[in-house]
Amino acid sequence: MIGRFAIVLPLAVFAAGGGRYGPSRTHIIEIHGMAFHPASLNVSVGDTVVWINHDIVPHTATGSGRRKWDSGQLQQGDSGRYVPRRAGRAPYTCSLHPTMKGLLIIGRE
Amino acid sequence: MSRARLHDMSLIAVPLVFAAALHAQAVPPAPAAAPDLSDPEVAHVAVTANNIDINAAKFAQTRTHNAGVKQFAATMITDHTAVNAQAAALAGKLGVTPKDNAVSQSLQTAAADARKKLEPLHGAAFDRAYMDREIAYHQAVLDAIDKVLIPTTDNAELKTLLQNVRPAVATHLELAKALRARLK
Repeated sequence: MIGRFAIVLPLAVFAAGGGRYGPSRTHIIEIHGMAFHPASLNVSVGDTVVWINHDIVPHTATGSGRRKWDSGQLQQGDSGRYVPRRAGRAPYTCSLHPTMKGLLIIGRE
Repeated sequence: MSRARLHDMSLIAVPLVFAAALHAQAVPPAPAAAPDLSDPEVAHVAVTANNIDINAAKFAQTRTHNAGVKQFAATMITDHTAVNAQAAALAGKLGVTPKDNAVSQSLQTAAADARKKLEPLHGAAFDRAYMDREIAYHQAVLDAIDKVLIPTTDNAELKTLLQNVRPAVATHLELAKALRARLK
């Protein structure tokens, strides 16, 4: 998973610069202190969302609404990704720690 | 035990905090002395506290039929194992050998007593007792981290490890309370 993160990180750098680079943007959600940062994020269909776990304990990013996705367990330093294909709201949680909640607000491309 | 009383506790009170939680008694006896803990002793206490909860969770997995309790126990094993791995890595890096001490021994004695109380229970009665124990234990660990372990630790990296562990313990407490509230 670290290798996959290494691939998407350059896109995140461009995205952070404020401009849109290529067909999609990459958004980074940091996991630390047993929470998703940011907890709520606006993205577009086709964007890539990357979760990076900085906590000592493992976490997941798991779709908890109608959209089903699961990053699998992310150990410290690991990252997982998700590319939403439909507009709408996509709540998610950590399946290991269900009190951790996040939300993707997905706009049309 | 009231929070006001916890606030006034001295270092020797660590085992009393844990013991009070594990025995679910209201007020422990007053501490007699206040020995300081060296960093190797703090490390041993941390590893011991993790191992106690791992063992309790493994026992719960063999006893419970409740899916929520099983998931909680699995998370306790996963998380506390991860914390111990970090502690071991840090100890190796620092060249520190965790040192057994009276606090660790007190924790182990209290855990053995708690296990004896869980042994005869089955079904919903076991689930309630296990979750009650987890709530009390994590609250006690949280208080010990805040009031004893972090303040008494000298090494900056060990202190940072304890500070990084704290949110996980707080989340475990929150999860345990939410699950306990759903048990009949």
